[in-house]
Amino acid sequence: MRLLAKGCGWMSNFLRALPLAYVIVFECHGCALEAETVDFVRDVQPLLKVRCQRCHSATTRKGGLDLSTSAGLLRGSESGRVLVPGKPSESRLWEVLHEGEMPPPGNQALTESQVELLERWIAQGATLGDTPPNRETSLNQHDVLPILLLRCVTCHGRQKQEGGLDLRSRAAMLKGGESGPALVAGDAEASLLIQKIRDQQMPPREKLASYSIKPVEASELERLIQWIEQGAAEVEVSADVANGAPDAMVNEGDRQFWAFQSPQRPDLPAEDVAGTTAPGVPVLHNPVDRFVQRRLAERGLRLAPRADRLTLLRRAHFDLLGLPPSASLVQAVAAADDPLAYERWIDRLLASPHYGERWGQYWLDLAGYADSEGVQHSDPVRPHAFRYRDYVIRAFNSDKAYSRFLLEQIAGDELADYETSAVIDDVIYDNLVATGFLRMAADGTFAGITGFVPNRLDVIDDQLRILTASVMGLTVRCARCHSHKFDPIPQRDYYRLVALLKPAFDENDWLKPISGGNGQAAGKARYLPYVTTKERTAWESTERQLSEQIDALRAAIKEKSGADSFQKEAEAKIKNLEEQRRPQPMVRALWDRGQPSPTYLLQRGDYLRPGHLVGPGIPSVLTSDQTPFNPEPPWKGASKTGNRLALARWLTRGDHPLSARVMVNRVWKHHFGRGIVATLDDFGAAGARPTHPELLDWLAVEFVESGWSVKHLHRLLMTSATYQQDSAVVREHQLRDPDNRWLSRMSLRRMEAEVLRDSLLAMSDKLDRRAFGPADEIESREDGLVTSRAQSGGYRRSVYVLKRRTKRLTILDNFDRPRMSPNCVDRTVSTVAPQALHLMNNKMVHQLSLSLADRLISEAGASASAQIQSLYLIAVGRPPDNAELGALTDSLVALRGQWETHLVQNAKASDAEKVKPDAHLFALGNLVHAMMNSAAFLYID
Amino acid sequence: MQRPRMNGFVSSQPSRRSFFEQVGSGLCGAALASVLSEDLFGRSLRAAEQTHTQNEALRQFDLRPKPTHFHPPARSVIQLFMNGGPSQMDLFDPKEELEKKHGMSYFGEIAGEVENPQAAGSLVRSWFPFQKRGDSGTWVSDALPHISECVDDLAVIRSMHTTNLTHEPALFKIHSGQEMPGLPSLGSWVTYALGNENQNLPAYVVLDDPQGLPVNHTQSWQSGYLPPVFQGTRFRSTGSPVLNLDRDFQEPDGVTGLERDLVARLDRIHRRKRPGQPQLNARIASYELAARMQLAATDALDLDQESQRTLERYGIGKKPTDSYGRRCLYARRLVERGVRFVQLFIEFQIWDNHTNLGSGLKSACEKTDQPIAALLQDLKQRGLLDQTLVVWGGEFGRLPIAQLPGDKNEKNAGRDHNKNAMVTWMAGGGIKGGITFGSTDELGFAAAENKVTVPDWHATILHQLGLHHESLFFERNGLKERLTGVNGARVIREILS
Repeated sequence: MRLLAKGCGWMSNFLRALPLAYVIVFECHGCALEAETVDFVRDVQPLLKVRCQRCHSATTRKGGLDLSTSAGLLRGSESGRVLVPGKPSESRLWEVLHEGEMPPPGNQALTESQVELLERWIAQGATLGDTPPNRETSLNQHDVLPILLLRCVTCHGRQKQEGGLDLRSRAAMLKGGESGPALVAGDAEASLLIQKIRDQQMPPREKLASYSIKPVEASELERLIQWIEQGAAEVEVSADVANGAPDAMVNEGDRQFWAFQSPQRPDLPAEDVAGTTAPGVPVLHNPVDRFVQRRLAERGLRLAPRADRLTLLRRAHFDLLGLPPSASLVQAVAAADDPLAYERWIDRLLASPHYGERWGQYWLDLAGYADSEGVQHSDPVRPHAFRYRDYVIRAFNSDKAYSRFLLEQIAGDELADYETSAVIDDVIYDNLVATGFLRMAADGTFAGITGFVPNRLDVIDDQLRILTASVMGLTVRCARCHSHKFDPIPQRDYYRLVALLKPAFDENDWLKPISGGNGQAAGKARYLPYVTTKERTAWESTERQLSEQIDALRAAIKEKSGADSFQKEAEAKIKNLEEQRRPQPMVRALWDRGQPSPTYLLQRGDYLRPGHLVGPGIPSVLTSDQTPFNPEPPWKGASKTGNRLALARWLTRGDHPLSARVMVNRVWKHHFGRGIVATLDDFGAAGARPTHPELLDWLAVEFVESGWSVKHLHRLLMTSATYQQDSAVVREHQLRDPDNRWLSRMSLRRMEAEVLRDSLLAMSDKLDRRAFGPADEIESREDGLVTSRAQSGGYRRSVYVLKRRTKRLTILDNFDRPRMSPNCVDRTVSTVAPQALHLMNNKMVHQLSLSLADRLISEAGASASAQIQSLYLIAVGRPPDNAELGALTDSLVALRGQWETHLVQNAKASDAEKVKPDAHLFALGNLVHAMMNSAAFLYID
Repeated sequence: MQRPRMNGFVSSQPSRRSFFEQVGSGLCGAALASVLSEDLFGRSLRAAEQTHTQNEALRQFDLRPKPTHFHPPARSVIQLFMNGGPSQMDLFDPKEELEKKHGMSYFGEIAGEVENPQAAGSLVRSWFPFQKRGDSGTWVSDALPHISECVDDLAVIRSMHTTNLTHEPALFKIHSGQEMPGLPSLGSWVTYALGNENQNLPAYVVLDDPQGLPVNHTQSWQSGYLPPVFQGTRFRSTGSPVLNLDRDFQEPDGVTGLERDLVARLDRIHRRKRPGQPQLNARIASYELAARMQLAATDALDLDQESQRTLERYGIGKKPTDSYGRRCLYARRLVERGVRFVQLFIEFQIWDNHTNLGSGLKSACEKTDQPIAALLQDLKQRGLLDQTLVVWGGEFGRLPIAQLPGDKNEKNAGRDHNKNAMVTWMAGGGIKGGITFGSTDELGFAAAENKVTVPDWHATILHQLGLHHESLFFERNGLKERLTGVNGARVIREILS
């Protein structure tokens, strides 16, 4: 407590001290002001020229800053103004010099007197010498294009040319439309463009909201006029891309950070680090153990003994399948003492079709998978999204190389030419479905009023965030508004990524989530018809048959007009046939459409403040200095840029500093409860450092060399002694490894939401194991309870239940299934009363407990103790111990008594014998229900 | 025990003590108290700080009381959310110019700000006369006669504005600070930061209207990326107050008790074999809390305990006021019991008066005016108003021009959405009463002086609870996410007492 108060006092003292320091500094500057007048041309310009203009000239505008002209000085950098006349401390130019941020580390700093000179110059008003600041600089097309893109091209652009007019280039403006040229260079008054805007005819006022357009602002109109008056100049401006010139914003020092270096396979620690002679500690065959044991040994700890077979069986089942082992398997394993059996189970589990459902879910979390668009009340369903979910599950089941998995998801549309392919095979289909990865963010742009340019930029931002946090373990989002505070990611790099995505995500040429709508060419906006030829043919043939049958019936009705009963029957048949029709199968995809609109860096992230032109690129810190980003069209004659393919190929290089590490760390986390890097989504400066850096790198290299096989990784981790440790906490653990950071034991874990629901269903034989296809419907009760709708075979696994953003399955919600915002990189665990209330009082859980009770009676025979034994095998994967058996037996007797009394009273049956079977069933149901509520069931040792 | 890193938090002695008092007398008694005290300043503080300590990978969360950043004026919040966007110039912001310019065209000036341009009419004066009320002389229209009597406790903010003129994004904005779905609501932030003083009740209670949910449905009280433990819990006014609170199936009472005992016994056996696993203690505690919540929640909503006079004051048992009156009275009973954040909704979007504003707005006022006034007076009489911050407002305001119905009959006109100006008020919990803050332009179209943003409003609410909005964050993707975002926010100090 005292410590707390003290901490606070220190803080407040610190805060109080701050402004004081500020004042002192400021006043010191005040005294300096009296000194001689600084002349811009004589004193300042030469200094800037020598020290700054290598990077900040008219040609190399690093950070958007050109210090070679007064105009450039006035314009400022990508972050806005750099000079505030009279206020050195508010001027970014002085600040970066004063703080030593510039010139970049490695270059000689300015001398104190040089910095002081600039300070005086700013304090004296930052006058720009004899030449008055020429604010009337000549404008070029890039000063006005953003205005036209924002206000006009929805109807006069790529998708639509109302009145035959396209306003995307000077040439097109000169050509004009049906009413003549839009632009008369040098004569704004005569330009139709100006007339229409000024008269408020354009953009049409009554269509603004439905087309997601705002009127042209006065300052924008002024700029358009100025540009035209000046002759509507068009100049060649090269976009800011990595071009071989030294990068002023990211330097070699930045690249030295551990996570930005390629992983190298370290030497294995010697075998004798292990202290393996202790009884119960297995020999450390597995490389993982040697790294772990080395860290443990440093703390005077060693690996815990191996858990017993049944504990391992249950652990492995939940880890790989998310389902409990069957009772018969538990019995077989309990009986056989085969030293190699464990490795065989792992292989068998990895081969199970349920494996992909379990591990696919983690990936779907990362992708932000949902079956609806969200944002608006209507929350429209995404009817074709399930194909992406199925793709992910199949990819995990088939152990698709992670590198290929990424390639397909990031650039599947650029891997093979689908448009001219005669046959769409499984490969091409997978390629396209996989791009759904970049279509998962919540997206309200289907409606005019939530479809404005800033809304679209938010969607792009979310997708970028999904991509970078999940695949790269990096956050770039802050750089949308300003250069990253912790990591060397300048704002420019964010906009290079935006430019990279632009051929697919163009806020000025937007494909809405739902087809049709205003300002949108007809067609299925985000959907491609390229399902496999096989599926398409089957669908067409079914539809044709249905049509034929319907036509025949219609014809028959016409013929037999008057025969009422026949007509009724025929119409019923038609209705039935109509219901069998299926909508055209489509793929929800992302594809490069070529011809992207220009990308401007948005100052402070504000879409109304476009800065300089930026071209596609990847974060500079992750690539060697001066590496140009050179995308190429993916095949001959392709209209695609190949941007994302180049990105994906770079990400899946064997020596990529992050891709393999991030994935290996994620798999590790799901097996051990915490990542080697605890912050799964942040390997940057603000993230955690790895607890076992050599192990992480060893695994990353091993992963790549195994052909990016995720199953190989599971096998490697799960056959380690580290994974097979007992979970018991002993005193040494509490003293030396309280958080289990050093893996001195296995961590006890609670079932995840989906695992809980699926296990309850599986135990009660109500799990419908059919995989894939459209999602199962959900139902919501008036009081807010949301449940899934039963299928004929029971209920399917949670991964197949509709993920509507506005309606979430209550049981999953209660047990911490995350919301996608825009995705979830790391789930949290809570322990709260509503969970207890759900398991105790929910109707479905109760019904499931009765089903299992029923099953026990029919399968385990009449003996209560056999039934209890069987219940334990099913629910917790082991026989009960004596204490548990005692508790259950006692309770069964008491419960049966209660039920008998109750049933006799209610049924008014005089014969107590007659109610006995029911009383037993209900009492056993209570035992099952208690088990479903017990920690032994919910927690995994 | 590991000491957490400091983050400018100070302890809040009284709430901690009252918490132990409640827990200590509960069914679980000493066992739970020891579970909690063993790391009240370990894990719970860590939970509040979250990944400030970047190695905290276990990410366990709970509702135990957490220290505030500084001594707070308010302990609880009652948010009276006015779904649909109440019209500022018909309630709290009289506009003389609008009287004068009634009937003049104005659409051309504000075309980009109109959601339904095809229905835009000319400037329209208020349907209601205004008077100066109370000692303070605060302007309120005749539509709110009861609240008019409470103005000396209100700080009316006329200069609030938001960023989107559509219900869904504007609701997301006012509830979670940003226009996008999936983000934690204000109530979630508050409970994440402070936990609850009464462990037998949810920390964040939502009293929604049986007549219909707001447009964003349950998303209005979601916890977003904060753990679900911090999301709002809906209390229903009829039947079982909380979802799954009672058995949703038939069973004799004795059986339920026996089964509960069996779970407890099994869990003790399980835990005995697994010493040193705090999760298991927390789990056992959560089952005990669940049992106590069944009693506490039912008790909190039992209006039979209230006098006839109180019921009448709230308008309970009378047609237009019964439903909202009940929720207002529940709100008082909940904050009285230490619930941290109570959020009241009113049917669908009753304040969304696109047409027939004269009658529509009046009807919305008739349903809410008396209950709200009763709530303020009741809290005051019980000495609760000082520690309870009451906030009133919708998601945006409305336009000074008319919105015409299909038949273009001006008599049936209403007003369209307006993001540029909205009116809200706060009372109690350290708020200066009897003041009017900020102003709009002469027509009431846009906030003009002392403009207040939604993040400013959030920062002010947090401040009254003893929280610095800049220090309250949750780390994810390497970012410190805040309710008030990255563009800055300002506590409206001018309205604080």
